[in-house]
Amino acid sequence: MLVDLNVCWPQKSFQDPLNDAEVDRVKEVLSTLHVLGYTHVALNFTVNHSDKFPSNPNPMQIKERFGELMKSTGLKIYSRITLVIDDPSKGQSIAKLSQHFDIVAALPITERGVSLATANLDIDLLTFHYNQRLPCFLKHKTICSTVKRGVKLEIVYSAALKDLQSKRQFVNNVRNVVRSSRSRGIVISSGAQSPLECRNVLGAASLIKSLGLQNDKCLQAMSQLASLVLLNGRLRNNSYKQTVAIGTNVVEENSLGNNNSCVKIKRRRRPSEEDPEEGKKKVHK
Amino acid sequence: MVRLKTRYILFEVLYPCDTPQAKQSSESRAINTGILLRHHRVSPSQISAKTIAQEVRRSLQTNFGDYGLGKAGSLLQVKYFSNRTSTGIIRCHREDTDLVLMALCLTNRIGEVDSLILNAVKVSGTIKKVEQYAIRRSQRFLAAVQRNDKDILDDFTNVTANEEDQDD
Repeated sequence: MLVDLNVCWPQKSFQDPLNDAEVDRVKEVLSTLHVLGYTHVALNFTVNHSDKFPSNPNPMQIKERFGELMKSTGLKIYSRITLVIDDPSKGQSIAKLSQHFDIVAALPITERGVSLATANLDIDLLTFHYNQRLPCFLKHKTICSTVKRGVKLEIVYSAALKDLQSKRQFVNNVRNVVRSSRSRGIVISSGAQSPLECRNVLGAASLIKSLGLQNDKCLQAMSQLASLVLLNGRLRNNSYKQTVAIGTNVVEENSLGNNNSCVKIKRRRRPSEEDPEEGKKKVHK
Repeated sequence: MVRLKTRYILFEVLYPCDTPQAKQSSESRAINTGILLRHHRVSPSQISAKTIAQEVRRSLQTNFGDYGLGKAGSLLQVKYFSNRTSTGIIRCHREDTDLVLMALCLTNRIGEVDSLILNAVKVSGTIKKVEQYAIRRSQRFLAAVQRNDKDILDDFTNVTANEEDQDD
């Protein structure tokens, strides 16, 4: 299975109107990803943390808009929200949001935002603007402790396909992220706004590999680790205390509840492992 | 004396953007077949082995400078390209495979033709295996289009492992 956790949703805020042409464009991106071999895709809705959240924050209506595409191609589509964290004091509680989205991510743009997102925000993913300077110098201690907490770091490679300046910044930022996380818990995603920004595993992996991440971790970052983020996010809504859920495959849509066989999903910790996240969840029959 | 080690890269040219006539023809088909056929189109005559080699060199130059071009350009050669199927094979030095893969990944045009994806599919040490893989892949693709099967393309990632077992 191949996972892309970041396909841009065209709306920029909750109030933005959405037209059909933009939805068609998203469909084109999804179909290109399907041709490139992706099986699980998350649509990414980016908003400011200080915006007022409406009562139903999820505007995607994935079933209505993309149901036909999902059925004919076998692609699985999930929703993700990314909060741009500027001033932590103005932010609101994200507990309400996380019920409506499969994945919650944070994108800090100030130093205080970084410290909030790394310390105590209940998120699945930490991401940055890869075409701009990082908000602050990333320290081993803060990033590694977030990764230990179960939050993954995201590398978005669409910045590498744009103009020269953002390419340079991309290289700089990726090296910083890889260094500060000691290449643990990194997830690679496209961040595609147009179908031309999609790449397959071979291209993306060779790109990140040359920036200092080991080859096997590059491949993991697009499959196992990324699906772990999906699992984590979906367990938040579909399970009891993130540990027990009913159904055969929680990551799959619609599988909850309509299957007779029960599966226990356990959190496990293997202390000998370098990365505790990998042994954490095992599916047992 | 050590033998000169090379790698062969199988790539394909994908056309993800809709043209009006493609849209018209795909409307009559099932969604999945429409998507597949829209991406795998016949390449225009401006694209040839020569223009692809030029494009890879240009991309190497812009992304990796004189050093990268000099390093990877030494053995670089487009061994095969077919406009009909939009697939081709590039030869490069074993140590510079990543540079060439990145050069393919970081470009969106060939000569004057733009809005396309150069999609590297497989890397192998012998050209024979690449050819065999390309044939198998296109057979599976044809079967997928004919049967209008939904999960054929997902299995492409597994092709190597399965097929190599059979070869042994």
